[in-house]
Amino acid sequence: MYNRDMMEAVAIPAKFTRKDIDLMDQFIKEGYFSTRSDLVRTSVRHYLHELSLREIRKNIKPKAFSKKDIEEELKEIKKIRQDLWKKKYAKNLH
Amino acid sequence: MPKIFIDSNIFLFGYRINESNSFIILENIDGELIQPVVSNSIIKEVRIRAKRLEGKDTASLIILNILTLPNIIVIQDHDIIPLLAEYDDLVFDKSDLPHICAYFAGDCEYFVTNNRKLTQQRIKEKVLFINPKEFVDNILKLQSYDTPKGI
Repeated sequence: MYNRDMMEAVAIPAKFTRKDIDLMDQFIKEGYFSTRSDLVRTSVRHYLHELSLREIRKNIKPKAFSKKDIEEELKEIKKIRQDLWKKKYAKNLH
Repeated sequence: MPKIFIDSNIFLFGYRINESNSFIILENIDGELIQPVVSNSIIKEVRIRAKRLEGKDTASLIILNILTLPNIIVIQDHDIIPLLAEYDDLVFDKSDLPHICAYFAGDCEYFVTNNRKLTQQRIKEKVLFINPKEFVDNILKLQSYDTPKGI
């Protein structure tokens, strides 16, 4: 349920080799994708997902969390949640 | 395909702790056997907290990573707000109410969270809460980590 702007399909020009097209059509024929657009969209999303995860891993240094750290973190998240409740939702509850 | 509503704490621990059950969940959402569901408020919580902890660029990457999870459903406010009154009486901490409503709006089966207080409210009679370790053990049927609070 993305908002309407995010869901609107936009056509962009893209060139593929005959070899790529044959490969794509093979996977479509085998039922993995419904159309070429479906295949390209899924592939782009998959690649962006992998790429972003790789970059996140580079940027965030793994840390050991104690029980106390976890409780502190949950408290911080709760503060943000309460703030969002006040700003966005509370007025809608009569 | 079970739909799972994913709380913000799963993302915030999962991206920061490799050896966590939250990370196993994020790694194993395939969009076919398990469909991820979040709300725009969950995304906002993650962005605000990740920005404070890791900076703007990494926070943006985290949001991109969430939004490109396979077959993700993002529940919007216009689906949540009409349900607030319906579940109000069952949720003591009102700040959790929009997420409960998003769970119902998304027709979810599980609500994966580390928020133990949330799981102790009256709404537990209607929502199937599960912590990350239980989810890895019982739903994904993978080897889980023994972590504090099952994160």
